[in-house]
Amino acid sequence: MSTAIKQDLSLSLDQKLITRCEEAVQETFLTLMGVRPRLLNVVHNPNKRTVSEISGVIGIVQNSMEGTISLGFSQEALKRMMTDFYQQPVDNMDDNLIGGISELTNIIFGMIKENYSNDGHQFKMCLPIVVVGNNHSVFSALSADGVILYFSTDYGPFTLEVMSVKKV
Amino acid sequence: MMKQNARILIVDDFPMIRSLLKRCLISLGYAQIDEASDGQQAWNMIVAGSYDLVFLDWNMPGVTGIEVVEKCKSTPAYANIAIIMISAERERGNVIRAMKAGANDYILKPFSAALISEKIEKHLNKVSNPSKAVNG
Repeated sequence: MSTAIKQDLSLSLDQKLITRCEEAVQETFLTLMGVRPRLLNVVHNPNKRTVSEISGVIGIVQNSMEGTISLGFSQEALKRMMTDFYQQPVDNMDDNLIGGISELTNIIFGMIKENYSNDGHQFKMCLPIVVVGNNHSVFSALSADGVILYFSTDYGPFTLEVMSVKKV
Repeated sequence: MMKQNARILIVDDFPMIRSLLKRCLISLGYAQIDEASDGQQAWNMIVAGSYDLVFLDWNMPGVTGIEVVEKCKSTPAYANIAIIMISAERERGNVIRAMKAGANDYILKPFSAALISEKIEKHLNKVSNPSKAVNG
């Protein structure tokens, strides 16, 4: 049975989205990295943006909304995790680190997108970009709704942030 | 086909995925494993080598995975190579497109070692026993 496409529906930053984000993060990290993230906190429309040192960012495009999903780490936490993954020291901001967060972001978004596609939503998937820099935040140029999921792991904390702007 | 004799090519622009797949294949007993980081390099290696099976990412800069599938399947010398697409693109339309282009299977990221084991044994068995592939 085919599912009707609901191009006019925008992405609601509701409990369903949070659950799907949490599931996507946990399955991706556990399957690929053998890491079990724990969801610590969820903050809607935060006054204070997350501050990271390396972020993977993917744009979400739909007829009625645009947005981003960003996965933010400290360099130290990501380097420790990738060092264990590659079983060799990952000290520099190299392809192993940048490619790693880029692919993690890509896969997490792919899983979230699939879940919404099954509900009839249609999102286009952009290529991930990686932002590197001490204490950076990811902002929307427009006034976006946002939700931040705070996770912890044995390697350190990380965040998944979803921003959504309805098109006029 | 003996695992030691199987020649396998892993193609992905992300070193993390190549590393994970290679580790998985080694743990399963496969020894002849090469890597390519983009579609053009993969095609050059396919032409130069004699691979039994290729794990092929879809989204890569330059020549994409689906273009490599189309080139392989339209070239008689390489048409029998088993190609397993691996992608974070989970939409059914993409899976159908890959299979229509001639991919033998499609694995979604993230993947488990058990799934890789199942798929590789299924397709290498077909390569060494082509009649099974025809007769199902």
